[in-house]
Amino acid sequence: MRPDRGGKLFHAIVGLGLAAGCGGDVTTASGDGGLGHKAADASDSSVPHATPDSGARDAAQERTSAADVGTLPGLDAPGPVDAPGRVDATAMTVDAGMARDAASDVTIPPPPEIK
Amino acid sequence: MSPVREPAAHEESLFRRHRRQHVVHLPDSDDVIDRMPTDLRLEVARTWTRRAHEELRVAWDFSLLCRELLELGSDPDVLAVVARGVHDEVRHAEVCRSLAERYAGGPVPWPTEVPPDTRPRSSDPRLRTSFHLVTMCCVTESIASAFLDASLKDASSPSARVAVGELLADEVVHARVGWTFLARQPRPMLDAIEANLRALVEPVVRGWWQQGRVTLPEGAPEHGIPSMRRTQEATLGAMREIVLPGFTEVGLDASDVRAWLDRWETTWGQG
Repeated sequence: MRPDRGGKLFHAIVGLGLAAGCGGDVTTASGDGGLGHKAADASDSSVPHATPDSGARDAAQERTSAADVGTLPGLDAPGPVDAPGRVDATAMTVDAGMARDAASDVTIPPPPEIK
Repeated sequence: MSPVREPAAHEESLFRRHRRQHVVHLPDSDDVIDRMPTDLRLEVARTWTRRAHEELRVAWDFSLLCRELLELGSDPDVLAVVARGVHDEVRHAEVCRSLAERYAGGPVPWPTEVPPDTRPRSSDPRLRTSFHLVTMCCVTESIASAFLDASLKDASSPSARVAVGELLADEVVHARVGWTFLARQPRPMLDAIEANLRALVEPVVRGWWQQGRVTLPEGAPEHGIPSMRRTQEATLGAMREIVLPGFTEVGLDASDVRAWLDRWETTWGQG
């Protein structure tokens, strides 16, 4: 099975995420990348159309209208923001033992259905 | 008069844009649910009830990650999405609870408390936070996105489609912020992540394989609940087509994880 047909998920997650990391915007450039609320698309006849005052439709419109994957910020966009309070880690050193300890300390959320 | 300024990158995530009466608006009628056998309908209701509680557990994890980022002075756009993640996951609990009510045909209570994780953590907070974000966002939420994408593709119940679509749209953003974070890490941090990559990834993949408390191993695909087999396929697909290529994009050598995944796939979870 190819859950990511055409690489849409890769693009929406990794492509846009890395673009944002290089100076783009983590949410505004693409919304959810056209995913998620596609269930409420008018072209999907299996889904009843939301009523005019429906918040679900509002959310769907908001997300899908912002979800133009073709308007990606370029990967060569300006560098990361210099935010107040940001830790300068460019000169950091990492001890391998400390890193192993940290890896074993990481909390992992359970997947659906599994607890 | 102050000059008009462009919005900062993180402001979009801080907007409060909607005042809605309900968290999710499910269709008024759903023939797919109406046609279900009663016993399956109740089992699906129980499954979505469990999912509501699991969403709260993920909210707990996002709240821990949010606290870790606050303590380290995170970039505001990363912090904004992770903070929003706490809210999103609580909202997801309500989406799942609402859907469970639709299947149950009556009230379903709000999920019970999330048991605390009391393990002591003494490791370096910068490393722990970075590793936590990679595990939580880059790996777990990417797999969750593929899982929900598969759920949505197979679902025919209009109610389930609305609910799953709501969850998927958020999970994509949660996964994406992990890659935004990774793109900004200095080489020493990337080296530390690379050196521990399998330790960070393997428990997540194994977790998606466990039968655990699954009471519908064959799933109820038309109701947004994939079978275990489809869940495992989505997990492998996400690893091969999203997570591992993503690591390569940021310059991480993921060959050790790829080799482990090859062995894992060969034995199909027996390893």
